[in-house]
Amino acid sequence: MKKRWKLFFLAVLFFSSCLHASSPIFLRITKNLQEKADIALLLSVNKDGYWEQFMKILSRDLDYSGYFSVTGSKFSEQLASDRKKYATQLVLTGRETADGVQIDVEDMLDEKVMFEKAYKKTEPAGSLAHKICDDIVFHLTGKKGIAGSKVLFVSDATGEYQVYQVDYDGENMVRLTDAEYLVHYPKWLTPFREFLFVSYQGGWPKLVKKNISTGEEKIILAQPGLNACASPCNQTREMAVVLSRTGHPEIHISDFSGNIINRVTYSSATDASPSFSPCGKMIAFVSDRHGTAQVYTMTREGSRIKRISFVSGYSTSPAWSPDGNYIAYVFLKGGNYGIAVYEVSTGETSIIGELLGSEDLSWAPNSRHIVYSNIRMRPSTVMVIDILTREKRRLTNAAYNAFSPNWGSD
Amino acid sequence: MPRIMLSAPIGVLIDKMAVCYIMEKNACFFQPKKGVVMKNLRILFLFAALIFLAGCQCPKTAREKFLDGAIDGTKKEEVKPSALSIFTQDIEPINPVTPGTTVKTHGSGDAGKATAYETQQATKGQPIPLQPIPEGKVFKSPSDISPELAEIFKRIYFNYDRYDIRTADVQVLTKIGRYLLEKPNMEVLIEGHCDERGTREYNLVLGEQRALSTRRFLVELGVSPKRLYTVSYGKDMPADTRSNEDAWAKNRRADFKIAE
Repeated sequence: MKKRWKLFFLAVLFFSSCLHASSPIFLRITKNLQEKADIALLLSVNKDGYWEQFMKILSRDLDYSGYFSVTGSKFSEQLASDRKKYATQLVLTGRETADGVQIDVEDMLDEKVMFEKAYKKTEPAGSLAHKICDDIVFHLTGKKGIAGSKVLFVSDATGEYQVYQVDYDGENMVRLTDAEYLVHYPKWLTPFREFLFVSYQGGWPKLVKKNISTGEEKIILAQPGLNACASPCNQTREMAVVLSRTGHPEIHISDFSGNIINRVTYSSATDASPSFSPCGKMIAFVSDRHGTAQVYTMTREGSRIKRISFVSGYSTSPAWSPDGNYIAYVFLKGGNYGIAVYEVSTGETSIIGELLGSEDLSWAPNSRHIVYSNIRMRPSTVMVIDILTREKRRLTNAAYNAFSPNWGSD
Repeated sequence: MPRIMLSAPIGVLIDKMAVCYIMEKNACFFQPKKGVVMKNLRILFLFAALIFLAGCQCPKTAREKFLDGAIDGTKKEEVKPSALSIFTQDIEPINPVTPGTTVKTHGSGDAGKATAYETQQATKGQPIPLQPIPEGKVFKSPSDISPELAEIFKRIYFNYDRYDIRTADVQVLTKIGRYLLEKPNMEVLIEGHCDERGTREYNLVLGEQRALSTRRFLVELGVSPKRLYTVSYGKDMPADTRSNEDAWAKNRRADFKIAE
């Protein structure tokens, strides 16, 4: 018996040492997920507008990632001496090369280089900074970065509802539709090339697919009644949608071309807002089948229905995280809206915030940030919240209403 | 058990929920314990009687419920005779059949009236399939057509997060139903709307439910579902843009539009 325990401990030790050897900084950063790693940026380049913008955006990207706290950023002519000022933290150095920049991230405490890679200066400063930040985050944490991601949303900036795209940091807002009819509820289908939206062309809500580069729009679901609440699953190339063609709103599954595969719900209650799990086997959805709107999960065939929301009398907008571990939803309590996150493996629920005015959630590719529209603000604003640090930031400015955000990753 | 809902499927749902609740509460009775078997048997008998009673409450049509005076908790004597009149006459022969004309009783039937099957489905609480709005069909607000239509096609309202027809609106819908039976070629678009509370996508589906329950009520009165179209705008088209109880009550509504 003793031998068995020894073997077990040895196995654990071996496993943990393997983890440590492959990504030591990962353990330090995730030891306490609310703690951030201090990092300083030192850039040894010919200082010009390009590198100034690069420094500013890279610094912001590292901050927005949630893993780093930027303690300083400067252009340095004497890297060796400047690095010594940051003896107990991470230092990112950038040395200009013939065709770009060599980036190194060093843990000054252990005097160990954690990341090194050469980049070519072939793209705008912002894009290069986003790429470098995402590479660093992925290398050090094993998590997908968000700096290169984009968010879709609806705005009335022109006086009527249109779909817009914006970089994850609120820059480069671009209008994607020029619809004469009411349009709504954009969802990335193939980021960042195709998206779905609901159009009232012809008098009722239909599901339209738009290709961003060609501008081509194609109606893919135009069943009588409601064609809305689409939730695409890229793994299975299927989407969950709400259709009311039978005379009652029900959740259905169709392929990306709009061919209906199966009907999922058969309840006389209101079943809405389906959200596919990333593997495409489960669906989170809202139903009032037990009196008030609550969040449930079920299989893609409609079996094993289980209620998961118990924090208030009204819970809606479920969103399954890209890593499959969490389901976030909106709850209404005391007249205000908050966000709760349900952990799928443990069944535990965390309240992320109670006074957020939140509506229509969508997860970032890193399964750590959530984008939502704050409808308590006037005009309504798209916000981003970090579920670990609870830090919030504004994604859209206050000049116009912005809502129904959807975060995509390539 | 008081029936508090008007629409048949919801009424049935409430009954089923109550039974489920009782079953949950009494789940332990199926696990005999020493000394309490007899007591449990008594309660089990009571429970069986309850289920039997609940089962006896068959789904009723709007007309039956209205005559019962049990809709939405309203007593029979509160119903005005004018509102009741539509229920006391036979639905089918609104337009008197002149001798020598053919009356269809099966198939697609008269374009303006629900077939026997459609009415049966409606009264059973079964969904009645929708049909697409024909391309190019334009719907106008009743007030843009005539004051007479504006007087008949008044908007109806709903309670918070609900889509069952309120007693206060039965009269309005009855009048609309009667008018539509007199005008068998008139096509109507029912728009479902919500107040600003609640999330956008959920409200879109709730608005559709409001339009559908309004449609169902009219089908129960004998109007063909083939000329009743529905659309939901969720909370995107408020009648009152303020953020208070008054405005919210005005925005939880179904509007009617008439095809040109």
